[in-house]
Amino acid sequence: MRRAVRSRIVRTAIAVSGVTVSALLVLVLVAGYRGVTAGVESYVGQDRIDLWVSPPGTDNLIRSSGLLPASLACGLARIAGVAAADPMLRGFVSVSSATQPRAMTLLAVGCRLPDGLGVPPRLAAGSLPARPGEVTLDRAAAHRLGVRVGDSVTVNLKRFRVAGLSSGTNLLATQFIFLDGPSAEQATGVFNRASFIGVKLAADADPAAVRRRILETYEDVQVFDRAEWVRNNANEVAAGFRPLLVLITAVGTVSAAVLVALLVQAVVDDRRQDIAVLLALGAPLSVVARSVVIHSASLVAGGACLGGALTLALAALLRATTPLLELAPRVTDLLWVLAAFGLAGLLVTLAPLLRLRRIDPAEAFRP
Amino acid sequence: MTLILEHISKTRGQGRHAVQALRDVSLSLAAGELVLLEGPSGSGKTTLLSVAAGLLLADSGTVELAGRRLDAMDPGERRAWRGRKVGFVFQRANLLEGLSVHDNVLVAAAIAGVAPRAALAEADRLLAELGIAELADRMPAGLSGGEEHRVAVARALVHRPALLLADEPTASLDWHSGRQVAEAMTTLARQEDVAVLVASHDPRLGPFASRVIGLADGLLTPEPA
Repeated sequence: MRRAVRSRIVRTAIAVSGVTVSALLVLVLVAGYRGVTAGVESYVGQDRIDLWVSPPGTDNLIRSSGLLPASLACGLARIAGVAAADPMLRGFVSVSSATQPRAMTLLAVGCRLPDGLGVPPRLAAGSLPARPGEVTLDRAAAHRLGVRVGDSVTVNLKRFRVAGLSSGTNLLATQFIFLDGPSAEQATGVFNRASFIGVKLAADADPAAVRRRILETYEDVQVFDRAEWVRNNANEVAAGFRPLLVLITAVGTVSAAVLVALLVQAVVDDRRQDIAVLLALGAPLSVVARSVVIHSASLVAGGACLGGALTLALAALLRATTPLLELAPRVTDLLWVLAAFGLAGLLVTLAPLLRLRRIDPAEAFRP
Repeated sequence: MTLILEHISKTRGQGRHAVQALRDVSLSLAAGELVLLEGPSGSGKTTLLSVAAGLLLADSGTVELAGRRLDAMDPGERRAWRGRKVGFVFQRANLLEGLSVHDNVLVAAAIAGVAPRAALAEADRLLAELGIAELADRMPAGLSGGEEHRVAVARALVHRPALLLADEPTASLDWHSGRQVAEAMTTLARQEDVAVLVASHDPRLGPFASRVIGLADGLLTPEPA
């Protein structure tokens, strides 16, 4: 019965392609978003730092306001349960290179190098800066600047040698660049201040107890554990991204649903005579309708799965060819897209299904 | 009697467009009998076939098919009864274009609830008897008009119905193909003890009929109209 109400092969191919492209559009956007959140999470979520101490009003690294005295790190290091405390200065800097004189804005993190708490989570090439005048920057930023390890970049008009390239530090809109503390102070013009202080706890320390002790000792600070800090940063990234994500997902889902509706409508129109014959032969309308629904559901599922497979392939291709865009597709996102497309497909199939009811079995007699 | 129609009247359309398609028609068919229903276009032949199959309900009168009153059944019961007891051969064969010849035959058996193994055996037997066994895997688009109609005959008989309704089954066929289809249909129907009601004005069918009745303006006449 199902094969009897299938659409013609070319129409099926066009509809599946349309659903595939819609799914690809949505999944690539979601995977791009996942890539960005993975970028910020891989830095702020690294296990070198257990607690983040920030000035009042600052709960994430992306947007921060206010500064702390850098010397606060020495005081924090003396609190029971704290193994180490490092001041970190962040600010946006203008970076250019010989091959890319047009400056781009990067998120600079000044920290103790090369063994401080605020160093990048992973190195893609080279090393961390070992001496003043060296930087490590995100590999996507290096790609855009056209520089490699050993080349020079200009950070706020001061030249630095690129000691290494980091990964997991690409926020899409901007990337990280790591400098030693004094260089970051010169680049930002902010001296003896810290944007945050990263705290590493002793092995047996209770994070909640240490947090309480910090807040009891210093009134004008906020303290976040790692999970909370990661969540805040992810939310900060998502705040700008999410409306666009929702909009594109909605448009993609609607366009896929419209394609499926058009196809199902075409099936009902094209196969009208065949459906009338089936009904005349005694097939229940519900069975014919179920066949049509299964047909449309298989188109949606096929298209969405193909879109998912293409997203995975595209992510692998991008990973191998360019560091500029990191896609981090997830199976759960594919399942969500599948569910959304399926639901939309089912809803829009209702109209053609109602049309089925108007087919008179006696039409089978029409010559 | 396999089919008993008593005092059937049916009006098609509404208002100014209403047409009295059948007027007090009474007709009965016995198993193994082939009745040829003749009449010009618009005389009500197709309406009569539709009422006999339970596809249309008469405005008045009763229809009894294989011992049960169609007009007393609910729509689902009527549909299921039709699926089991009626076979159709349409003017254009109306094979399902997405299915092979074999599957086109099997679909009627599946709808009638015939067990798959029995349906397969019956389909193979009928296709062989109709001389088209070698076409079983072909798609309808690759068949000639005569072949299509022989497949339609197999489809109409695969579930061993009590009544075979054929609407102008030879109208679109050449002389030779039309005769072949008429022969196959009548031979098989008699062999299977099926009552056959054929609506047609094809003179080639006359020699195969047990009875010829006419229909004109919805009225049944004992002689061809």
